[in-house]
Amino acid sequence: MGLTRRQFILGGAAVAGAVVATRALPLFTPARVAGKGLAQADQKEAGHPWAFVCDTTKCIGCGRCVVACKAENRVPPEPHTTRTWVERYVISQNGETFVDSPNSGMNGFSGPANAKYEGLEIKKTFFVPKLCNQCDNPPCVRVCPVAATYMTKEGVILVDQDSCVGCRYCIQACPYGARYMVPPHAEVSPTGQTGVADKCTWCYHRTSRGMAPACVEACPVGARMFGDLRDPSGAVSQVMKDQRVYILKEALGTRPKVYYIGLEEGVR
Amino acid sequence: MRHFIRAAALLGMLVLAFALFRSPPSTNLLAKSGLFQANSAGANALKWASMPVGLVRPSECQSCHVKEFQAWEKSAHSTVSCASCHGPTREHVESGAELVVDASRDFCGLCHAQQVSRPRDFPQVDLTQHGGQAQCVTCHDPRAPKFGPRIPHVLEGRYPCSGCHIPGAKEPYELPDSHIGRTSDICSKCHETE
Repeated sequence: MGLTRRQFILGGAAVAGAVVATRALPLFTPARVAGKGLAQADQKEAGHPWAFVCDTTKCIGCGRCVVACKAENRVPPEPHTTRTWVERYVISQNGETFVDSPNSGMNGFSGPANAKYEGLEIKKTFFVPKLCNQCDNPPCVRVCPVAATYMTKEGVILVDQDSCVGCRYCIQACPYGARYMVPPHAEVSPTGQTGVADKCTWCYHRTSRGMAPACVEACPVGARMFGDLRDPSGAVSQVMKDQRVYILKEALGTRPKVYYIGLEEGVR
Repeated sequence: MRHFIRAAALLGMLVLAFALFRSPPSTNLLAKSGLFQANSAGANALKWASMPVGLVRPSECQSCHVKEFQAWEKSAHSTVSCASCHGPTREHVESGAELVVDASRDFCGLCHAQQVSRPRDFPQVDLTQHGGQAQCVTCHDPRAPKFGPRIPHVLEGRYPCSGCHIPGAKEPYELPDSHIGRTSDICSKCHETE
């Protein structure tokens, strides 16, 4: 044998180094370095074609979206829970921001105009419709201990309520407050299950059938839009092309798929 | 020979440890291997997709409510889906269950009550002032809320309006069904002479 122990170890280390280098190379491809994400693999294959647009310059705060959503998806009325809601933003002259959403906005914001903010010098005020952002990098999916929540190939996050154990971790994890617990004794519930986490599905049952989500259907002013980005003439594609759109809490890196027109600084 | 095997095993373990260290179970890997989804995710997505639809599109209302649809389609309310006011309409389409619409001032006020937060160009009224305390639908047709066409002729000697404008008559003599029973003094509240 012309091989010493030293030579063997050095040779072996070289081979191992080469193996590891080849193995590790894909970890540093530009796409991975630029934006790692949960759904990247899926995205490459099928793409996440669905997007949602909320136009805060059009929203009138009538709350018909909330009513429609609750009826369409059998969201428990008592105690009050909701999958979507409308917030009223009031920004004063000295820069204070007030947000309210009485009963999620489902009874509108009518009543004495502006009574709540009497005496306040208003610089700007508007309504912001809110719903699940169907993040491409969803914190709620990552934290689920029983893998009961997942992303479909269209990019929608769903909850498998047969698997959900009701630990509420996802409700804590969502930075947008888009999830809620179906009250344990609720008489109506989206799937008949109670004591489980529930969230907006972008009306998966409607959108899978080529219909608009219930809130989009019910919106009287077109402040909510839903569409397939693969359709270049679709309303959402046009908006994405022509308008400046913003997302909520961009710094968190959740990559939401609900885009806002006319979003003001201070909207969270 | 034995010392070669030992060293080889040691190296092998080191390589394995390093490779594992270099590729932690990334979320991509988990997603690909299906670990991010419950075993039943595919079936579950189908379950969600097969939930019943409650709100129908206006196109489904058209076949029965021809007149209403035509009026609505041309009106300023054409952006407002039938279901927006009439609510979940599937049951009505399938079994003819009655649809009850709230005709109160407050219901119209959900959209049209004056609100500082609403876009300025959106039509808003002060509910405490506008039109006394009558129901909005007394004057406004919800499917054609803007006031009717102006009257292209003088009124002297032509009263009552219902003398010429009769339900079912040809344009321009037709009286819409919603107008039946209205007296001439009501007509002039909405229709001005040119």
